[in-house]
Amino acid sequence: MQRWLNTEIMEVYMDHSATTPVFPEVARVVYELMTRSFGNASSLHFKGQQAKEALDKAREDMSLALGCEPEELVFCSGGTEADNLALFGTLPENRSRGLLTTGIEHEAVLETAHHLEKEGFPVFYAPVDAYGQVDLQAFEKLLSGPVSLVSIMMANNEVGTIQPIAQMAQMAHERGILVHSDAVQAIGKVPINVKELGVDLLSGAAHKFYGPKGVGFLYVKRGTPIHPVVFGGGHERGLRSGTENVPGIVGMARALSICLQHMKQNTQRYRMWTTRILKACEQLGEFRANGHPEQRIPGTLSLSFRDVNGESLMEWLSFNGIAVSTASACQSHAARRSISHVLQQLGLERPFANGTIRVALGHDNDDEQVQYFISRLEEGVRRLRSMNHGA
Amino acid sequence: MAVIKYTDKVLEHFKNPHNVGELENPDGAATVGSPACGDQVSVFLKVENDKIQDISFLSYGCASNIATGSIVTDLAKGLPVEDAKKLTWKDAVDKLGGLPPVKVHCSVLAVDGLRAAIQDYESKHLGISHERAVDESFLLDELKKVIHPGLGVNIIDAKLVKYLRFQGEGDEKPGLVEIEISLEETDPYRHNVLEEIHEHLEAIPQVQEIDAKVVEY
Repeated sequence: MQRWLNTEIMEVYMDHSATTPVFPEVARVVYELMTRSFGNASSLHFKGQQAKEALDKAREDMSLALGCEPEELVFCSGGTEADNLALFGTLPENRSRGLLTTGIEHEAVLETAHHLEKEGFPVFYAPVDAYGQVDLQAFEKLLSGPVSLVSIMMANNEVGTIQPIAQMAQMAHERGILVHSDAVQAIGKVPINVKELGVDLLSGAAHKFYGPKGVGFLYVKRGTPIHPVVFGGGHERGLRSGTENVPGIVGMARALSICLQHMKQNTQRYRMWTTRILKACEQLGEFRANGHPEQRIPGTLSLSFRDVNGESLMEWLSFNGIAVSTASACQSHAARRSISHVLQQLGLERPFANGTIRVALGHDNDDEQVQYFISRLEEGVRRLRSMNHGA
Repeated sequence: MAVIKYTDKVLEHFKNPHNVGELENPDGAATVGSPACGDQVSVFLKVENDKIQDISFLSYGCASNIATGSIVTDLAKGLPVEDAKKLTWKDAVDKLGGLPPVKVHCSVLAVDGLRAAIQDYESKHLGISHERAVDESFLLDELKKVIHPGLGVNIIDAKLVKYLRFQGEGDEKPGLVEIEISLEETDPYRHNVLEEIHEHLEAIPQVQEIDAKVVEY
């Protein structure tokens, strides 16, 4: 029997939708702020003012990158907190009107929506098509219900499909409904201008675009009726109390500007690599690529192979030094039995859904790594298939 | 996802599994699990002079499922059928140097597959029927297939099942299984164990309804 592991192991990280390595330049800036300009931005002495200046500069840089005013950004701990603030902070207290979202949202929105339902808010879920895009006709019908906020992700974390947010925002605004978008998976990967999108609220998390973990933001368009969900010293215009994470925020701003510098070049590199990967997968046969063929995040792939156990393929790649993720993490038997809620909504047949991995390329990948990944993937799929139905 | 750390032995058997394939004209064969649930294992046997002369398996499962299939077929090869029947999940896992608790379920399947293949051999070649009346003793044996991931012992031997009643024909509610299982509220595997109990019992056609109560004593 052929040996599985005669080749040298190369460490390859291809799970950039889960998190990213911090750019070394960003890490240096963060370190500097943690050890030298460490003051509390609210302090009136020189140490506080150093921090305040760095914070203001970061706010300005971020606002330029996103196409908004500096005062429209609320810094917080990340995507989950930003989503929670957007939902809890804007829904009417009398629960007369509620939320319109989708079934393919990240848990930060989906679980919040479930909680709101339990609290007595009306919550509606717009259906998606086989590519994972919201069905606009159904969406429009749902807008006539008791809805005060729409929350739809800009790009899906599992399959990478991008939603027509600008169009949906326009439709919602015609009915006076607020629009939030969780853009965690899109920021730094595709150009985003909040004014062009026309949204009222938009969430982002630094660690998805090569910044530090534990820092993110919510864009709140000027004039949007919103109230805080945490109370304290009145930071962030009273919307998010708590001493500002200045190193994190400055690191986030720097990371975003580096992403923007490299965006065009990276998009081209990812296109070339994903084409190569998809071609290899097609040749393996009994294969599906999930998500929209064009309206998608560059570099993110959801690959399904029939007769392959996705978890087993992930493990095989991991033992070969390659980090990708499965659609459904097999923590418990119960979790494994239920295939990913996203793939379910897309209507992917079970034999394919069970054999799904997500590959998310990133800035730190190169040609050699992609080649290595393809060779290990091909061998893994062949191996696991032969183990499944005999050689 | 939980950090899953495998022993070198598990990795070796996953990367280079033994006895993979399908045997032609097997004396006994069985498929357990279902790909819809995540994994499936098939086991094939050749028996000569009451000994397992050859054995192979196919797997649609994760690394621990494949590794357990590899090791359990290694262990069974050459053994008298009677001894192979006594091979347990623990024998396989010990031989692998242990498995992470979250992977317990995936590994039990290979051992179940071996037992089912031996039963198939016995019914085809020795005329031993394995059809049993569904009663409490039958259900107890089924529940022995449910392993508590934290304890590494099946729920019957771990004395977690405190009460079991099955209502047969002529009873008030035929097909009802009542079961009381002792699991602490803080037990991280509480949910897994209950899921597994339901899965095993639901697979029995005579079982119509399951009333599982968690008790804390």
